[in-house]
Amino acid sequence: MARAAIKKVAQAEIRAAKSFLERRGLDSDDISPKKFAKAAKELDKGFVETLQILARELSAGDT
Amino acid sequence: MAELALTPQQILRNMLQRRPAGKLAGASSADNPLRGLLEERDSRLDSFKTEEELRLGYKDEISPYELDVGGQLSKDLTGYRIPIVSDLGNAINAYIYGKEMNEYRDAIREKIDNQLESEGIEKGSSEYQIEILKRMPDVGNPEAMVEFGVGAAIGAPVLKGSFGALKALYDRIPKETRESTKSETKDLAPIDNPEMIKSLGRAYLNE
Repeated sequence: MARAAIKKVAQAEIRAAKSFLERRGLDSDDISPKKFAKAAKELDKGFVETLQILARELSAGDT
Repeated sequence: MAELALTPQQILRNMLQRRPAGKLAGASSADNPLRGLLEERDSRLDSFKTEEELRLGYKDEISPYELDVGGQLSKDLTGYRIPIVSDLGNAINAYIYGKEMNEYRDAIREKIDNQLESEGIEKGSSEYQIEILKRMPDVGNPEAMVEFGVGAAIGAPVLKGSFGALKALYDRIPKETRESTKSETKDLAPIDNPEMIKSLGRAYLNE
């Protein structure tokens, strides 16, 4: 069977994600920049919006 | 000066006889030696704040153990309070995983569709529905259901499908579908020949 085709992310995107997370005080140990960049690409959203989507789902919409 | 000089024995004796000075010499410390240490504790420690706490402006009435630094951080960033920042990382992992599992599920579905088509079963017919239910992997086992529950709880399947159930697909299906299992078992001749049973028994005993 064919291997699942998950979108690949470029090194530059990973670096951008890392920088984005670090600027906001989020540790790379807590959130993998590579996976974060990949998730943003899959969702076809920006980093800020990706973070918001995840936070919204995790908190079940409670602010 | 000569009268101040002490012999080593005298020094040792004095050290052993010396009583605690100040508060430590009080009656309370005689009851409980640790109390003296507590009384000596620097009161500035009670009002100590980290730079982060000062920056976020936490009030004195909040206990240091009730500070929600991670929650505040995520609240500022996203508008939603996630007390443990690594939960966000876990959600990303789960999402990526769920996406991969969806890809596998789609591939399995496509394969079964092709099989059904080659068997002359029309897509969308009632027979197709029955067959697809039969041939798609069973995710009804308790372990898969637990994973499904966990996945649902952390909001992983959110965006598409359920990653817990899909993990079961991943574990079981790519290796063998029900169809292939059926055909493999069909090819095996039943062991009902007495000669064959005897030879198998002999082989077993010789081992």
